[in-house]
Amino acid sequence: MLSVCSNSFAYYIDDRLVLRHRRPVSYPYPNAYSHPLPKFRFDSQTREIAIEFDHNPAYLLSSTDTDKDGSGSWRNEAHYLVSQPLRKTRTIIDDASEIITTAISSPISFFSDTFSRKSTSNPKEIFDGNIDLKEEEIVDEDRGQEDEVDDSPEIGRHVRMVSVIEDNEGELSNRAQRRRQWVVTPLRRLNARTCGT
Amino acid sequence: MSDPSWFVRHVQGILIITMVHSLMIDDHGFPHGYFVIRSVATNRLLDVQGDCVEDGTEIVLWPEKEGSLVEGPLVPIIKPFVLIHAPGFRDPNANNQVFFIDTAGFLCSRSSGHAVDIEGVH
Repeated sequence: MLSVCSNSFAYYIDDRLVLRHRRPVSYPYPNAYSHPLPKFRFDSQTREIAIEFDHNPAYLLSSTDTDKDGSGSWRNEAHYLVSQPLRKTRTIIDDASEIITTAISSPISFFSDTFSRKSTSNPKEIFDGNIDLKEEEIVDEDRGQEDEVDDSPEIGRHVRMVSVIEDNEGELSNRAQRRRQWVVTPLRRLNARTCGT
Repeated sequence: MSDPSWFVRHVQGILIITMVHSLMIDDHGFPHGYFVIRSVATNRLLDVQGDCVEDGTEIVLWPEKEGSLVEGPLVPIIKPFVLIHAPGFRDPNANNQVFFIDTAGFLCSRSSGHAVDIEGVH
């Protein structure tokens, strides 16, 4: 799914990594069922993992906007592996606590806001409410400090693929950059003949 | 066939072909053999969810299940015909967090041997 708040440099797609069994060829090839697998390339300098496609990956991505006109523009896109932050789910207690805190800290503005229903929404509230933008649909560059918070007690996190227009990417925050970085560590095998010596 | 030089030349040919082939394999920046992939931001490892082998199983980020990076030999312990990994070495149950680049250049999970693909959520 294409992010609606894209600043034209990059868009965040909620495409995930999965295990794939080898499949027979089906026509028209390639398609979502039968296609060449992507290749992953690790850059030890930038510590980024790029994902390379031999064909236009539109058939397997959520986005339908990728190279609609068949002009080959998909070749100008770069795809990277990113980790996705997960925020703690807000509870009723959190909401009540926020209302009470607001009422105590500024009672006059609290009552005036309540009765006049005057909105002082910040971008985060707008995204959560009116535009109906999901967490995973926010462009990396558009993520604010609040969006980068990763405080969920959940054990697991999601990993996604982000697509950017090559050489036209906006400035990434430090946290967004870290979410693109990976450490690849090889395993070592102990030689059985030298075991215990 | 009885000429021993024919056998030597044959073996030399196989060795050269094997060496050339091994030089041509592109690991795509990943190390040779098996490896784990850790996210810098979350300090979690890529992990095949639930150690499943089914097609379409999601790969997520999960805390490290095995701290050792050394694979030890199989040794008989307690029962003479039961081989387990020597203590202090990697537990094979953590192989769903281990990956490798296969001979075709695809990223694969060690636990199932299946390749990694991208799939739209919707």
